[in-house]
Amino acid sequence: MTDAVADDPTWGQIIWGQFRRRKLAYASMWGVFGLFLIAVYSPIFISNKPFVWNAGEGIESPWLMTLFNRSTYENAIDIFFNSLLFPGTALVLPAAWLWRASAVLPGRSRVARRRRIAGAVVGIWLACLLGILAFPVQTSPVNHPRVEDRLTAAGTPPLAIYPPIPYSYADTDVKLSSQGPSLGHWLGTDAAGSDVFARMVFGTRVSLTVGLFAVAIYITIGTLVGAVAGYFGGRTDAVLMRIVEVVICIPSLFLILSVAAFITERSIFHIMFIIAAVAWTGPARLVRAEFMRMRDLDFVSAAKASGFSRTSIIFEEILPNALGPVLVSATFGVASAILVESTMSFLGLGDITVPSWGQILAAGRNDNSWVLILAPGLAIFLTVSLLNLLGEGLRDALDPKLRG
Amino acid sequence: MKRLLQSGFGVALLALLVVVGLINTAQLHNLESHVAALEAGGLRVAGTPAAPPAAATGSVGEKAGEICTLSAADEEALNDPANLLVPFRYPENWPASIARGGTLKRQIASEPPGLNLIASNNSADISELYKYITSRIGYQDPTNPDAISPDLALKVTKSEDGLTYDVWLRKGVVWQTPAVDLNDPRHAWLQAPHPLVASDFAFALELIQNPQVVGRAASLRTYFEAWKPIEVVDDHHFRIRVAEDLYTNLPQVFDLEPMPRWLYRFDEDGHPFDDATWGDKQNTHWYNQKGIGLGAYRFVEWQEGVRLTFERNPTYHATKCMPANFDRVEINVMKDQQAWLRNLKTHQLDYTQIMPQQFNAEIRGKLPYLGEEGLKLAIHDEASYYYIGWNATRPLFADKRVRKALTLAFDRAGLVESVFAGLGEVTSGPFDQRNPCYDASIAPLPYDLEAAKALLLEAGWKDTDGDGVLDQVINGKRTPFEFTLVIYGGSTEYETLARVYREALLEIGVKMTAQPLEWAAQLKKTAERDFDAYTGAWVPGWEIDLHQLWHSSQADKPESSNYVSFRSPEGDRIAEALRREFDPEKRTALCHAFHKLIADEQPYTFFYQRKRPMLYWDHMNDPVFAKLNPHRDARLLSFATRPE
Repeated sequence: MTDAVADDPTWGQIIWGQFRRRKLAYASMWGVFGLFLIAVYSPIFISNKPFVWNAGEGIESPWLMTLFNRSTYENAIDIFFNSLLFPGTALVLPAAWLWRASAVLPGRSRVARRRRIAGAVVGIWLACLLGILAFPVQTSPVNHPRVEDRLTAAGTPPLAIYPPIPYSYADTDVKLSSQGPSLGHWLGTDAAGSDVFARMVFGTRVSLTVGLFAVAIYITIGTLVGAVAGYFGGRTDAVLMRIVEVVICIPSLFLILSVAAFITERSIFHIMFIIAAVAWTGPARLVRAEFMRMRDLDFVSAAKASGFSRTSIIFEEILPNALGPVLVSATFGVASAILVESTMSFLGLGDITVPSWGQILAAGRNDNSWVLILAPGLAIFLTVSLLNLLGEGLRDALDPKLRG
Repeated sequence: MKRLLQSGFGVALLALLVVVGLINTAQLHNLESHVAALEAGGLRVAGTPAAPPAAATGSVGEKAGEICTLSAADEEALNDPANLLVPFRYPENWPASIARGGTLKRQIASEPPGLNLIASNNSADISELYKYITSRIGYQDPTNPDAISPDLALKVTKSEDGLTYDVWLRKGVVWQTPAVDLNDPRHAWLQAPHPLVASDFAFALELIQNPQVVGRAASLRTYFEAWKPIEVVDDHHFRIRVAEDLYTNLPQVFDLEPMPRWLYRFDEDGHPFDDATWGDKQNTHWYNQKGIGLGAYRFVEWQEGVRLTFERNPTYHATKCMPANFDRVEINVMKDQQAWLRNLKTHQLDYTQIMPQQFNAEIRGKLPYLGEEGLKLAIHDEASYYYIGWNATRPLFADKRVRKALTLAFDRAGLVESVFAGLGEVTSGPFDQRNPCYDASIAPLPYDLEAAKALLLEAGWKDTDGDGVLDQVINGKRTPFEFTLVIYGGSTEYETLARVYREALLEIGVKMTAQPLEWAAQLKKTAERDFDAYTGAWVPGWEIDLHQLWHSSQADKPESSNYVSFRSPEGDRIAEALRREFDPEKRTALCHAFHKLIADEQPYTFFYQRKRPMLYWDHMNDPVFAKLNPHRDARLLSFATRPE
């Protein structure tokens, strides 16, 4: 029996090695991953739906049944993250085991196997998500804690096992409005009597989604424009770059606010698109510069000589080599997108169906409550700092001159 | 690097925001700890009698509750039993002494686009500002809106058939000097003083009725369209002719404000406009960014976005009974309403109104106010009521049982108490609660989800598919009970209201989505009837006319105010009868019948009538609040001692 052949380190492995040596950045990466886990798994800790419920009519699980209920979770962001929670988790666990098991395979077939595993996970999950969105699960949106109170008062307490924090971010109770922090409500309640801690935790979902999606959209646009401009040069480049310059000229926050004011029925997705619409110029210029540098290098000439099509030269040959700087700018981009969303929510231009940090901050200013100012302020600060540290580490790792 | 800088800058900004917020809060908490000490020190609360200030000067000797007449001619005119005007009486809570002079500093949230009383848009701000500048035919008693005393007119009479009103004007009233450089030869034609004449009223009506004039004229036109041209008998006597004898005629007679023909019919060089296009010229008239009138204050300057300045009018005619209390009035433009309180504390304002949440967080239950020695609080009623309107043309809301259920599910008392800081009373009908028209025996519906569920079931709404949302077959299609509620955009209070209401509705199986809209967008939606439900507010006015909001003829008019398309033969009958009824008791009976009808039909879910807190420095006298527009009448505010 022979050991698997030790491959030469790939480019990715070199970068990874460099990145791991930067302790702060490496820790930040885990921090961001932690935030992501919080976003995905928040309903397990915070929900007003009991895992188990029996009011004499048999055992049921309102928690599971309402996971995709559009009355309980009004916004598509929650449906998205809940789909990562389930079936997402259920898919990832066996996939991780298969991934590990594939380590014994020789180089090529290992890569092929792992690709298949990843493809299957993403494919099944996407199919589930689309299915959920197309055929929404509908169950009764009864407020279980209130029903429980009623039943208990009537002398027939139901069997109910709740998550540790038995509130939903949408729960309201005007009798408990604007309370300070207490054991029951760790960060107190807001004017509607909602639990601020629950709103904060679910706010993580909003921030991360806005950040990731907005950046994904504008990186795609920017990369395409930059690649075309950089590869073809000449007039195409001149025209595209002038457009980029015009867009850059407009102060972005100003543009975002005026565009937002035009849209009367704003949702969180509009906000992502608005952010993307003004931010794509950065990656466009980065990618263009990389393309200009590389289009005359030997490997491109070789590809041309071999008769590769333009599309495959652009997307398969040059682009993978030009993505390093884009990746770095994307991490910073996520951070600034989160800030922009908070700003918009703070100014009352956000989506009111989601509990965003900016919105909590605005409520805090309105109510003059220090908890409502401090908590979202720190959360934004922490998230943005983690992303910036991560970006910095990545940039240094990609810089050959800094390799030690 | 740039990106890093940008986001680094952003982080720094946020951190700064947090720090500033903390400092702010910490300060407030500090101040709270002083409250007890101050209470021991005997701080005064509004309403408790103040010791007479030592430095009171210039008091005219006016006394609370006493009658005052401006001249012998007034007395003679008031002796005429046909005169509809009554003697002026000082309000009961008129301050014991007034220190006249000094500068009153107040704020306004937004500016009108112009200062032409009739041709500029945005009536609310303009009428607020013109309260300082203008005088009317009669002065409406601020605390008893039914009593109107002589102002520009000495006498107003009504003919037997009710179709003619005669107005006799006071002699010797002079228009204010325009706010232009009179030494400039270009404006030399404006130098001579201009007395008020009857044709200035005729001109005002011409302006309103001229279709070329846009702005405020467009909305005023609906009220004055039935008037025939004013007949000028002589310079101080004119006659108004109306088509029909209606109750609303008299308030409209008193609403007509004169306009200086000698100014607005001419261009800047003094050349008259021609008769075909003079109306159109009003919309861009050279004097439109300045104000003119006959009131206690004269327009001086408008620094856009900063402030409007008025000064005591040296030629004011009514100096005997209610002279100007201040030498100058500065109205600062402060768009951020949250900042008003801060500006008050730093003495940029003499008094200000406060937002409900600010009141809740900083003031409620913390009297005397927060250790700011010298700040006093007064809470006053407002004539406005707030409501949710249901679009009756939508099948969802066609059934009154459904509308009733939606009211039952709306925890109005709970919201007023928490989100709106207890500043208001839950209301049950479309009138000011202090108006005799409001029937206090009709209690608002309670907050009762079980009753709401039962009513919905009775109306045929059942959850047939077990999805938690009620449904019913409407026009052959199974329709779930889902609707969109349009709320005021950018208002944290209304966002909270929507969250609370949404939760309650979910429990009875109704799914509501809130949609915050800017004011203009909301107006467009309601005018086009393109909504399920919306949050709104009305200021019903004192002389009740039900036509505009409730008559079925208004339901089909695209721009009219019957947004919810309320139609009721009984309602129409009452609305028409009320217009022709002059007897106060019978009018009240009709109003009460209408109130009952509305409570039964629930075209609106009536929410609450608002109260507003006002904070003022103790160099001011305790304010006398007008019943209708508490803050608009500067004559009711005064200094107890002159601020330094």
